[in-house]
Amino acid sequence: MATRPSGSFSRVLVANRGEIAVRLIRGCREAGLESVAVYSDADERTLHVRLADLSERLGPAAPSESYLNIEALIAAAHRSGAQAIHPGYGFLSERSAFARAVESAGLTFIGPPSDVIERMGSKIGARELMSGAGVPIVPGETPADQSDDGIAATALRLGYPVLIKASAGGGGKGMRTVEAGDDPLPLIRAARREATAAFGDGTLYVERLIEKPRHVEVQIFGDHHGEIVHVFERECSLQRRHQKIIEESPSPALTAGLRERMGAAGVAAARAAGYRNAGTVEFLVEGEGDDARFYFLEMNTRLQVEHAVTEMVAGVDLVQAQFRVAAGERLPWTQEQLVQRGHAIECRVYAEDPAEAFLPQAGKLLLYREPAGPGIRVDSGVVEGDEVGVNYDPLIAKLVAFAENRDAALARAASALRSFPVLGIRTNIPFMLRLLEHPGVRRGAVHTGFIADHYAELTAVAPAPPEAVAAAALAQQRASSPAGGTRDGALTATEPAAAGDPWSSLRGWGR
Amino acid sequence: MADTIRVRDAQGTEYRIAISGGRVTVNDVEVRAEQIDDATVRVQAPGTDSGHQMRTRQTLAYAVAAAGIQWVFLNGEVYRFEADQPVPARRRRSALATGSLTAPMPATVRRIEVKPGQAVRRGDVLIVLEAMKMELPVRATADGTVARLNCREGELVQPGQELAELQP
Repeated sequence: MATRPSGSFSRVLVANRGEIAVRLIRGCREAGLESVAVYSDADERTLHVRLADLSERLGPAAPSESYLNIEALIAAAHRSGAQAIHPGYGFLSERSAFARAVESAGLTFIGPPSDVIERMGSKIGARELMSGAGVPIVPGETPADQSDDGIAATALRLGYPVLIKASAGGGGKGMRTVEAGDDPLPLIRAARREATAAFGDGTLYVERLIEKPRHVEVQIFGDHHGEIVHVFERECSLQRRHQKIIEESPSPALTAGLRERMGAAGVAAARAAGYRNAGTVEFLVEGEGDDARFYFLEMNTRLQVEHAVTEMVAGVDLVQAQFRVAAGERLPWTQEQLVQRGHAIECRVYAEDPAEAFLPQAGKLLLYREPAGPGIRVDSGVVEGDEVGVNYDPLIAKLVAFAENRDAALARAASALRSFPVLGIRTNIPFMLRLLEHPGVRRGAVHTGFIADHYAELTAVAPAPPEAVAAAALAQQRASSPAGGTRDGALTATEPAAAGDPWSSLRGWGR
Repeated sequence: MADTIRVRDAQGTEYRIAISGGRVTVNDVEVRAEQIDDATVRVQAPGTDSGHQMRTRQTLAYAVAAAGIQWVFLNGEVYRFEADQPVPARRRRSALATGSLTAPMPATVRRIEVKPGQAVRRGDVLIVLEAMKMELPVRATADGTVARLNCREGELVQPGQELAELQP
């Protein structure tokens, strides 16, 4: 257990891929730190590998043999001379065994201490701790009898509807809702299989389902000198399959009084956990106005996917603060210095087909052009011509719009989505546009079941306008004309040059 | 000299398009189109049909074509067309919604829930695929009998690959 950081570092291994690896590698560069990218065989030519100062191969494409392989990551850190590891989000970021392995190897883990991850990773342990610290919790438990019948008995006792989920992780993997009248056993088995596949641990947790709740989370940050602050809230109620797709800050539902109480609860939770570095305390919010009640849901002991909305409204850089705090420095801000200004909205661009129940899509990005302009930030991990595969999470980019108020931010986000052509693979861009323009979202009247409730109207198919048909015909004419050359051809033509690029073949150069 | 192209949209609607210089006629509607770059077309259609936003204004469309599929991005919507020409059967990607017993994407066969000869009802889960850490059930498209299974548990299957055959 490391209670003090192991000191300064100058080279950071980024134990992740995709947009978060790109964001962290850029952050390293801004901080004057050298970055080491890691990659699986499926990712050898991806953006994060190209941007890093150094790169190390981990293994085959399967996550268990690459981004989830602790030994390979520690070995890559030693080979490359990295003194610190940033885990990003997902993969090993919330595995205490990984943080412990990093600490034991004499490296700095850019995140909380391993014992804190372990304590907060156990839903039952986290709840007990929070309850003891006076933070309100949702009724629920990890049944001691983990048999299918044992889980079903606990569900019955808590009272339907209940949520059955993986005790070991989040992200909606291994989560099932059981309503009164459902046969719980097949749902329990499915939850267990998914939990085992995603986290290597089939232990299930059962809790009472709060109906039509909002999901509001508080960003917290602690340093090694006993200081803990909160950096306000993020409203994350717009979810599909229990995964967030649009997040914003401030939450349109929070009054100043509720915001203050939730922020204080977030800090109390972090203090009770002995938290250091960046973390998030997730709450469910029930009701409206100052009378709304909130319940501790879980603590995410890492940087969140949606951290950018906080960076925009608070005018801070959470990744830079992570580096400084991990090196033993004091937090760069006091609670009094932090202010929430303007409004930010994030739209997660996923390779998925909303019309097919959000089925993940794989294929080549034949066209990929990101929007730009005042108040627009795009964090992405792909470039045109990349292949989106089936091995990893289908998140390809995050679009963040910042403006002086919520209406302006909504308009800016919608306008940017209209200028974000991604072709060759289905994405949720059209779906998110309809969502942003939905009267319920405009009013801020959202809850975690909003997308499911409005699914049909959000996925209704409009007939193709003649302009779209005309553009399709012109593209087909160009593709089939011998002189025009296909887009496939154009992309292929650039590949030999890339293959001969010494910067992509000289791995470990400068070591 | 006008080129004539036929395309079908995802709903099966067919369009007949004539291209002559900067004028493109879609069924009977004339669209002015100017190629800006490789994938960008400035388009403008006449009329004030309230059914389509921004119909009367010029706007940018993005379009690419590959393997007989045309993809178009226009005002935040994506349209996918197929050129009306014979396409090899294995290239026809089947979606889950059409109910065919094919893999919708590259995936691993997690479990096979039925045996050849077994009677099934429409909607029964026949096979469970796994991709991107999620389970994707393949369900019977109609009542019938399992005639054949064309995959094994643990096998990696490709989009469009037929996984099982049903007999009415």
